[in-house]
Amino acid sequence: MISPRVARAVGIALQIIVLGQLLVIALGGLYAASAGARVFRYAGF
Amino acid sequence: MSAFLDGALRPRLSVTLGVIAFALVEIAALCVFVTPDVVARLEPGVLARNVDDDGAALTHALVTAQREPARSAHVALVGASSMREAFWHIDTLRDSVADALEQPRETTLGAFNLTSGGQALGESLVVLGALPETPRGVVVLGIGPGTLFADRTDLQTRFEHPTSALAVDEMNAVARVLGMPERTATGLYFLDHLQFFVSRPQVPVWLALGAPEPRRHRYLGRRQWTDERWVERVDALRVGFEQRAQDDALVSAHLVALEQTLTHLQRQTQWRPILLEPPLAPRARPALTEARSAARARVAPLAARLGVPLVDLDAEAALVDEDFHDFTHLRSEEAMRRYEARLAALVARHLSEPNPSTVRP
Repeated sequence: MISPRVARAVGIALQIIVLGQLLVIALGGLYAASAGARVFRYAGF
Repeated sequence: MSAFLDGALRPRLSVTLGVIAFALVEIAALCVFVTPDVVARLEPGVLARNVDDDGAALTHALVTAQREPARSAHVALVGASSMREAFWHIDTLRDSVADALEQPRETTLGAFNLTSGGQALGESLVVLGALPETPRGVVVLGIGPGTLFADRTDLQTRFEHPTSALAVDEMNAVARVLGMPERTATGLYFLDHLQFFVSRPQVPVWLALGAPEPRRHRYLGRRQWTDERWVERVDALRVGFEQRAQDDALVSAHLVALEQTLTHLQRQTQWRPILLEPPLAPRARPALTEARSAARARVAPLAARLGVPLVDLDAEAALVDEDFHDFTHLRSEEAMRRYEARLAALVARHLSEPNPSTVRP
């Protein structure tokens, strides 16, 4: 049986990892948008 | 369970600090661990935003080429989509060259497909400058009005916001000659190509689930332009080429950069360059011959002075209108293989001859 203390710590760690990853993706997206980063897309002739 | 949910869902100051610390550590780790060596070990499609992401494909192809095991000879193809669609597969081209030279396939001959859709001539020159060392090699650069006569604004955007992760120092060297904006090099691969990497946030997903195979050809099996499309597009292309050819300063700067790169290849490497005019549909010739002749008139004297062949394989490959989707892109495997056979023969011929730049009297 996992103690409530450990379960809470696991929950906090999970929250940190998920939100941390989302923060990195959001920062990357903001930078890409502000810098005008481009991925060439085939437009056809 | 309620303790776990309390930990996972309730906002806390410690969580906020933890999230910021996690993000900082991850960014630092990306700066340290994302290197060309790591990129070269990835599957070809992992970096790609989608199956048509040629910038990612070129990046992967170049870092892979630079880490290939030693071979006795190499062939490389560099250029834009017209070059990409002109041959069937880099491996079949390599096999044809090896057969023509009566050499075993794979073990002796390395082949690099360094073409990419929309590749500017300036980017091609950076790729040429980044070719790996070879004991003997032939590199074919596609060049014509579409790349020599560049749009200044578009080119500026390409240097400011590159779609592939080519070395910043080499990009800056070409940018200086072309009068294009330079970027700051940090020495950290991830930071130097930050725009490239942040535009591709799907990388962890492809790493986890497996990346889709990049698409080699975009025009395969597509129908020919309709008569209406020809009327609408070919004249616009002609006018575009003519307008861009008027920017003499940029055309001349391209020729200076081209000469520097070709001279570097001839004097400091064993790569032998060949300039190839990409396929042009017979139907497009009346409208676009003038633009092609204008480009040839600028490139031919330089090529002759340096002893670099300037080649048009269209007649040898017997290309007809039915082979083309539009004015320059081949649309059938049969046409691509036919053109590839001529290209392989050309490469084999030059590989088997001694390199004039290395022959000492």
